[in-house]
Amino acid sequence: MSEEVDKPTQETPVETDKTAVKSKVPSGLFGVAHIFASYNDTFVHITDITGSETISLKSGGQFVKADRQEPSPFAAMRAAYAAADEAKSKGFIGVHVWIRAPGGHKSRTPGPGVQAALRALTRADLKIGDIYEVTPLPHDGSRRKGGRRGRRM
Amino acid sequence: MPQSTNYVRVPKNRIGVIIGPKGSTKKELERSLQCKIDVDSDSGEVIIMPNEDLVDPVLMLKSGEVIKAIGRGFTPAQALKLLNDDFYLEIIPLRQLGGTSANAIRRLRSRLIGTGGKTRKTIEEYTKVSMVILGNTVSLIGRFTSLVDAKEAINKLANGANHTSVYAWLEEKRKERIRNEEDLTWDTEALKNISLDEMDALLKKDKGEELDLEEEFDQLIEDEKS
Repeated sequence: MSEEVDKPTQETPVETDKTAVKSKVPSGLFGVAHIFASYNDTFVHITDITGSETISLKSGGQFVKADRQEPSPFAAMRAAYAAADEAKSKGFIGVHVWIRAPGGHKSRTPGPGVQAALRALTRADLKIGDIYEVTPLPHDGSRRKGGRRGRRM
Repeated sequence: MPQSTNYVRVPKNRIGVIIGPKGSTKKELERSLQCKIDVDSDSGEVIIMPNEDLVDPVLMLKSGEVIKAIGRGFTPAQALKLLNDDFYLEIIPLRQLGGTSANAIRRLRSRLIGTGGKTRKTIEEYTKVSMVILGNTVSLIGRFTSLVDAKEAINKLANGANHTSVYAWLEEKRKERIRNEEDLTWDTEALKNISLDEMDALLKKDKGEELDLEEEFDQLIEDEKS
């Protein structure tokens, strides 16, 4: 589910807007906040409890100007606040948190945005439910990109 | 608050470090991480249970990291630096850096430590990270930007770069970091105390600059029309 974070984000928010208006989410609903933190960006993706309906998807890059600042705690914080606001306006009062690093043959430790994003979610008055680490860890793994002779510049 | 139990496995020879003389280190860790630590001395499994009254969800994440860091060779004092939001832990398996044979790993280790620890000392001095090489991993604790640089330096060394050229590169990077030092977006301590209104003000300020440009653009168009 959290793998879908990288996919284009253009259509999904519009769709969920409509469904949220139609179905009128009852108050006191819990969602899931998928926090995907790499060394290059931080995504805060709030979904409903099934994970298939997007409530809000924000990334650090939407809030800062320089590429260098995209993974920064500040960008993560703003993304998390924005996502939390949207979720709250749609009737969510709390979230379970799934934290994820790139995983696989890439970095297994989450980037610098995680802590800031999590703090922001708490301070935005969302209740925090369970916290899971869902970094995909290979049992044997695939080959790193770059080929035998490495990256050539 | 939620109950999330962390499970971490540490090498058997690091168990003693976690417990400390008569359990003093363990007690200290439990106090600062606000959790209960359960060590299985036979398998090396450490179970970390957050206290019931723990309110900070970030601390729950960190407690696992601190124990992992100690398991990877840091002293408890070094590992507790992770409690500061600015410090991050990076564990690099030596296998990932190239070479899986015992000889290749040994060679990598020696390249990274250097004669009498010279290379490790230089990397630590230039980037202000703590670096520990134990078994099959290199582990680093430091501020994010310098951590990335230290990691890159390690990669360069592993790929066969000269030690001297890596030292020169590190010096260059150090200067670059000093130039970018006042970047507020990385200052977690400041962010922790910032209020929602202040954030909004910052947001508006940023957007304001963009709006000015747009207004100018609109005016230009209008001028051309008239």
